[in-house]
Amino acid sequence: MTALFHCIDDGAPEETVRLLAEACASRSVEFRAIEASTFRYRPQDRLPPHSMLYRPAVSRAAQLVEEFLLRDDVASFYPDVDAALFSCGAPRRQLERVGLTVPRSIPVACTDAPVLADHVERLGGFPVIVKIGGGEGGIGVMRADSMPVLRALLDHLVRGQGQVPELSAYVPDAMHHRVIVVGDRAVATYENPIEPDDFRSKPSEDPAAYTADVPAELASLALAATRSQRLRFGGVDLLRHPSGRLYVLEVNFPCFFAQATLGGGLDIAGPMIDELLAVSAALRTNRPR
Amino acid sequence: MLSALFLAAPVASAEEPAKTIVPTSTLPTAKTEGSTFAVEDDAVVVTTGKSTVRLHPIAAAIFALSDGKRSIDAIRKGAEEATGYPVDEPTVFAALDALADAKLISARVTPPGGETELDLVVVADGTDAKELVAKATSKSPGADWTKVKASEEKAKRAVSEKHKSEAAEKRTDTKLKAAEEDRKKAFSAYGAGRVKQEQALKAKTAKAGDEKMLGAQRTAAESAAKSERVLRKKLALREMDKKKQPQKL
Repeated sequence: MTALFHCIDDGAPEETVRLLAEACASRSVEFRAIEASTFRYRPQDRLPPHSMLYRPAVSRAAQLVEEFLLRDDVASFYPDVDAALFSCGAPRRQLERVGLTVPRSIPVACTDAPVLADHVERLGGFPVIVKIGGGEGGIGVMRADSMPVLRALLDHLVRGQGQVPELSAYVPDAMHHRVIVVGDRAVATYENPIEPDDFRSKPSEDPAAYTADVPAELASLALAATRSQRLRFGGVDLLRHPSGRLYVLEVNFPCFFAQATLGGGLDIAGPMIDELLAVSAALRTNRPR
Repeated sequence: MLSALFLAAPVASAEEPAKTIVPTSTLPTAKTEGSTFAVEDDAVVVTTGKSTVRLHPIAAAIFALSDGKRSIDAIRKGAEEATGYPVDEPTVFAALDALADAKLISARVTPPGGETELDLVVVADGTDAKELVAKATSKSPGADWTKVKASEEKAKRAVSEKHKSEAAEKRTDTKLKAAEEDRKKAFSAYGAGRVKQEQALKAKTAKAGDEKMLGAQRTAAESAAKSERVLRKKLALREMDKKKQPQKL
């Protein structure tokens, strides 16, 4: 019987879908794309038992299709269906809860000067990061270097837009590492240096900054972070301070794993399909995933 | 051990925590000026003015070792030697965060991390030290989770073994109690038997006495009867002799 891999697409990067399709072809796995926007949600649209499923698209439509298709007998990067349906609403707190170091952060719902001064002191002083949710590629991440800047920003976000941004400690002179976890392994890492005239980072354009030999301290943190979010695949963002202290920023799922292939020639799609095949095989024999 | 550490007091400093960009080359320096220290059991109580803070052993050791000269790794090793607990680098950083929050470090060495159990190693006075120390040593942030899990499993196994042992002891106790009961019952039965036997024996003895007495009485009676018969025979002979003699005129 031919193994089936289903890819939920809804504007996912072309490279991502192409790399997954190529990995399937090289393993004699049938690749099937599911278009989220035109999905019909009929009983016959459910997946055959032991199928493999991954959603590289981040849209709400794609998430809803994934929720419909996930079943106990479908192989995915979630350890169980509950993990997908009860997605983590407080990922940063969950990282803290399992004992991982994240930059200290405080939600802000007012602009009172004494409250803000107290927050800033707790965060180690200026500069501080102001973050609003929903953005990608650094969008929604701002830096306030002084109280006048911070108050103006928060007036706009809190009083003007009714948002509750997060203030977090700024980690200066740090290197941002992206570590890609597949199953029980950290399969790749690459550096994201800070751009000139910016405080945010971007993936390195130097192929030497990409490696499949993930240093042990990065690998163990990335694995623990991914597990804490009840996932078996993810792109974990870590900061290494010059002192050596490591901070976990977040676990991205789905993540743009194609960057490691395009920038550093590292195969990620292959290990992803291999992992799903292993999960599918475990489902056939009723072994724990 | 903590007392010894505090004899070699860290370099005094009264600087305020940094308000601007966090320095990256600073080595941890404890603020000791104006503070008094007291070692109480397994904790160090630092009093500065009206503020009292309790440092549990790991935090106390890290505080004492923060002399502005030691590296993070040197402090880590020193804290391990001083406390006997395994101390990893994330633990040192988290404890330094907590010390900085309590204004016991002159400047933050790194930007602060999020909430961790280690926040509890530096707390307002009056807390249960043992519980916090246990948390501090088992929930080190960034620890090798395989090891932590293995350690937790080991602890669980130890607890399980302890429960088994207690259950076995309980079973043994129950058996012993049952055996004691049995023994008491047996002795009680034996005692009753003995009493019965003794009573029976006494009864038997009494019967024997009665028989003896009866026998003596019978003998006496027989003897009396024999005497009576002898006397009666003598009396009859005398009457016969009287009839054979001639009457005197």
